[in-house]
Amino acid sequence: MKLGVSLYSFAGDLQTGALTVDDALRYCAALGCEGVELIGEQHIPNWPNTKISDLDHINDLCKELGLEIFCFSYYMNALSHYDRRATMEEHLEMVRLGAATASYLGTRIMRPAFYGVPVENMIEMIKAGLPIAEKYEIIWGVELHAPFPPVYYIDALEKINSPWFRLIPDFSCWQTAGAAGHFQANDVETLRPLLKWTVHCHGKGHVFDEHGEEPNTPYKDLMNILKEYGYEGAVVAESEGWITNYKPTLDVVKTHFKLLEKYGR
Amino acid sequence: MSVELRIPTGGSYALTEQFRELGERVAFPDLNLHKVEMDGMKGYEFKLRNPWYTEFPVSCAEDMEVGINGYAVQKGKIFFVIRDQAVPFKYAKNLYELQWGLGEVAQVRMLDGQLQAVVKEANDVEIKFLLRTAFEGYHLPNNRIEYEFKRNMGVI
Repeated sequence: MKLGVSLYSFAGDLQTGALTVDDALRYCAALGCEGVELIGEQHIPNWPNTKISDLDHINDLCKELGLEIFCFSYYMNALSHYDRRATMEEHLEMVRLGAATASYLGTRIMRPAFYGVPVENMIEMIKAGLPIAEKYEIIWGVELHAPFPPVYYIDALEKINSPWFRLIPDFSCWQTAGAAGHFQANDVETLRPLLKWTVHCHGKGHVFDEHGEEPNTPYKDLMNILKEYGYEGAVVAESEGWITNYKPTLDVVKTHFKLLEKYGR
Repeated sequence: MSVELRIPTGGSYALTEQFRELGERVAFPDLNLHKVEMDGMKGYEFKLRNPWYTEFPVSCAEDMEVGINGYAVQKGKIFFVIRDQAVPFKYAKNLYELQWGLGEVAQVRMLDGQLQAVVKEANDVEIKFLLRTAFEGYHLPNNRIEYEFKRNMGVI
């Protein structure tokens, strides 16, 4: 498997200007990451009204640093207007923009965050938007994140049954109940049946102990399951502790990435 | 297939508190009321950094109330200023194509004539800011978060 970092992990410092996206990319390369995940609303200037020159800058820097862009993520905003929900046509335009941007950034995977409750809404959205993703040869990855149970998207994956629609499990689903924002813990074995659809993984982390372990997340077991399966996608460190327990993110990311290396190499 | 989805009914107030904590940490890059003049009107403004963890459309900035030393600034005299574009706050809701970037610092400009008599060297400033999340997947009550900031601000 390939290992990297989601630049989301640096948000606590990107937000205050202590770091720039360029700083974060350079740091990831220095750590030995093979690649990164980028998020439109955090890392792409003026997304979704982005200048080509800004995308060129990111592409050029990643090329210089030897970083692959594993995944391009963004939000499908249904509530941008104060007086109505986004229409299906507007949602499809978000799909088109996301797929085109992902393609320009040279990644094969996009993760348009879409609120899939009930899951039938997700199925309708994917069916309508998937031809666009396919046209750009971009895989639409849906993130499986707590509090959704591991089986939540299986219906959608089976019904759509397309190589262009795949799963992005977030390790939050297997974190201890009581960890930030979590309401239930799931057996790590529930990851195994999802692997045939899995194209990318978020290694979630909130806190790290003196041994560099994430005490709420069974990293060793989860990474072993991925290795046993022969998983060839990427796992990115996605640190989130900065929301409520800010610490300078460079050290946190270093610890987190070393944890991925410890169990993923 | 039927699955049990345990999402707190009515939204997660715990998550609201986590995001409020984040806003408390980042929202004020400077603690001053800055003297300002616009279209011949004098007033004050303070800097407000986007308190949310991503960019969002300005249209999601739903409401703003500001109190200075106990005086409620007239809402119609409050402007939102981003990248030198000033709009009365009550019209910000229309600007769905203008983004407030991650960590971007905007100004809250107040052109209320009464402030000349209210503002002192040191000021108790209370700010209520209602934000609608453009993405609805956070399980926040009514997809909204209300920030209540209290800061002591000087004048420059």
